[in-house]
Amino acid sequence: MLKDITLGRYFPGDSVVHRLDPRTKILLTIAYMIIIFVVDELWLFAPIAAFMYLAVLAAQIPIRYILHSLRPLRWILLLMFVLNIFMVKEGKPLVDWWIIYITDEAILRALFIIARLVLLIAGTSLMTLTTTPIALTDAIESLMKPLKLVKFPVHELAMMMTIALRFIPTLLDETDRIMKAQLARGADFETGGLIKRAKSMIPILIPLFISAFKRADELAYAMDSRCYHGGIGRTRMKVMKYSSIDIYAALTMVIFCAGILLIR
Amino acid sequence: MAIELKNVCHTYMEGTAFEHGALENINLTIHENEFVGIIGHTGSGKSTLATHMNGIIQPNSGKVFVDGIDMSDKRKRKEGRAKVGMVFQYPEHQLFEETVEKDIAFGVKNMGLSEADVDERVREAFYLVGLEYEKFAEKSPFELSGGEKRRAALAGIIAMRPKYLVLDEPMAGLDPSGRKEIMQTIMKLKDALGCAVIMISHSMDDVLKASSRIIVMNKGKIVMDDTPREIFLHSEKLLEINLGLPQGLVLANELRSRGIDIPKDAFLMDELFEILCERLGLC
Amino acid sequence: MGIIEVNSISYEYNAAKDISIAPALKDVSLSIEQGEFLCIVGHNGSGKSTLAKHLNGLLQPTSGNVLVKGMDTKDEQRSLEIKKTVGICFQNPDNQIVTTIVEDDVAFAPENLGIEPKEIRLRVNMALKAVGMESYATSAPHMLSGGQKQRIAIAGLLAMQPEVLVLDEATSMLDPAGKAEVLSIVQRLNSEGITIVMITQYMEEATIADRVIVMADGEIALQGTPKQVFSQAAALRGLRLDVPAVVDLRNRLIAKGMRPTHALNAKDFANFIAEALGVTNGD
Repeated sequence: MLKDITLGRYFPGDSVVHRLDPRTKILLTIAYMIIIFVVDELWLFAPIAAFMYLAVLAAQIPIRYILHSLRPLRWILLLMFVLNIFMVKEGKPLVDWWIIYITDEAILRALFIIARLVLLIAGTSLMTLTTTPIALTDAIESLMKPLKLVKFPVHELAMMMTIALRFIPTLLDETDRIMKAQLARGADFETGGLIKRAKSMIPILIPLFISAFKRADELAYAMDSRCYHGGIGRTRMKVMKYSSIDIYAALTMVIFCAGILLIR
Repeated sequence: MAIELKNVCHTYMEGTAFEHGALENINLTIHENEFVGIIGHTGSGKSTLATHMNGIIQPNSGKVFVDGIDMSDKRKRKEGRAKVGMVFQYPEHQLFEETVEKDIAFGVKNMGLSEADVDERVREAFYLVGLEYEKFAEKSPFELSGGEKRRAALAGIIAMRPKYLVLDEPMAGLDPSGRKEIMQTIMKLKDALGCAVIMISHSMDDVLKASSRIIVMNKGKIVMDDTPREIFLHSEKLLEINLGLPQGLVLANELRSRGIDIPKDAFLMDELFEILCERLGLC
Repeated sequence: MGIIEVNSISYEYNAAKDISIAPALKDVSLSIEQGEFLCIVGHNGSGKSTLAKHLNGLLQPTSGNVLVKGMDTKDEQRSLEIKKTVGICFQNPDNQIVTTIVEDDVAFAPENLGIEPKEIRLRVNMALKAVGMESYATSAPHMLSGGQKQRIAIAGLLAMQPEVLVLDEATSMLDPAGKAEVLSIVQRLNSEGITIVMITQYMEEATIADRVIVMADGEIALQGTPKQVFSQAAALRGLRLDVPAVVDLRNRLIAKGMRPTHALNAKDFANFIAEALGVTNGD
């Protein structure tokens, strides 16, 4: 049941990409996304795809893991493709039969959209596959530090993300347990219309909420007795530090982006 | 009529890095009216074994039959499940209705009985677990004390009048009197309903008090299955798999190791009381 | 003067302010000596956990005060100092682990205290070693057993270098193996000079303490050494508690006319019997 879901898509490893500072990875991913949006011609995606491929090789991650992350989006990708093919009317007609009217321009545009999306997803997947969720949270907190000046609750947000990550498996376990217990009392979650099914969730949701609130309450006590008092004056055991590989990675990205912009 | 497990195997998280065996080739028959205690370490597979008995989880291979009903048959499963009452660990965590009465009625209602039948069974369940109907029926289950909550949850299963009652750690987390009360309730239920009881516990002493048969699990396998007396006559086997011994047996062993002659099969505190009384010339 | 002084505190549960339902306390006074092993027992809802939460200022008494090394727990300025001195380990190991990696969790308290990263690393390694979990430093907490999680929780407190460790029913959700692990760690920490306050429902656990306090309905009902407390079996039963099975047998024999003994466990009792029977080849 729910227990079988493996959480977090982190792919453990010790490659150059894994060793990059998580902040660098976030910044590089942003740069990569910008360059994908700046590019306006289909053929320019070829060098970007090649660059992406090299990055995946450097990360020592099987390419199928990256492809796997595209799976949930396959229907959206298909829909985008079909819509573009039929909506675009400019260009030389290739097919003009009954109500079907497809131009060369339409096919190019459809391919363009798909390539852009696929590369975007591949880039972000590479980041999440090589960085633990907790490292990403820390990096986001660190990168957003300047926002503290405008009273944005950066630390609180990061702490919330950390706790959420910590408790997702626990609450999934709990859901599984409660489901089994209600099934044993003859609860039926599988048949009936929408309303009946929604109603049948009540015996799961109420105990789950009660338990979650109780956990939150106890966690608050536990954090309090371990001297938690917000982000002020708090230090970290693992201090994030940029190293030489971060500089090389950044330089590579700058050169690559400049190159793409030049040949555009 | 019986619960039969035939060559049951179960693996958790098959095909992932976390794959681990939970049950390996289990063959087991639980007869009507038995009181079976199941003991073993955390992770020995005893809870997994219990959840197989009403078909909530299905074995990866092998079959489970409840009174001859094949539990892998989706259409018949419900009928089989109704015969097996499952009381999970900390069952009070499954309470959700506005009143204790409604919560106890939840399972019975799902059986599709008439309102009068539901009412009768609910009242009976209140009585059997020792909760006063007038006092508790309209209360919110969340206002009850720990022990009362547990009894209300137990009543929800009892009301379904199971032929087999499976209890996973029914005494966990209760204070000494709470534990004693639940244990007495369970014994009373067995007589009142004439059902078989399958009780999982970490506590050797609790299992020993009630069971007519004890099953010892280790690493997903049944390693012993016998009467309490036979099991504890071979207590070295229990020590081998790092299970504790009942306190009476611990004391008997201590006495023997000091050269005091204690009969080989004496390990109940009451038996030791008699023996020591005699030796000390007190009676 | 003790390391913690509880001066006639009362606590009234305030429905508007509190989410948790903490049972009330009525005029409780107690002094905890540096280095002692104190056990607080009591039935469910007797107020023992409410008392525990007063020992480091998590709860404030409605009247009376609590002094930790002379610091009043009501003094906001000393709050961190007090919490650093008195660490509390709670019942449910799942609900006190904050992050997704073991060593990060152990580092949580020192991080909150603003300690230098290098020093935190040293403390984390030391704390993990003290509970025998150093090989799990980079594991995910949800993959560990209950006993292991509870050991991580204790390590998380040790990293604050506390002088008092309070265990609020810290073993009640663990299996026998987990209980034994935690108890042996606690005993060792006590022998190294840490003051232990252990709250429990398990009478066997209380036999290892220097002093036992029995709570009932928000008040201290009995106190003394384990020997003194467990000789009052009838009084304990009246308070919804019990005595260990060996002590019960001992008391029954004494009632029959056996020479009185203070033996609390099987070993001591067997020695006593051997001596009484004049058997000499014991250990």
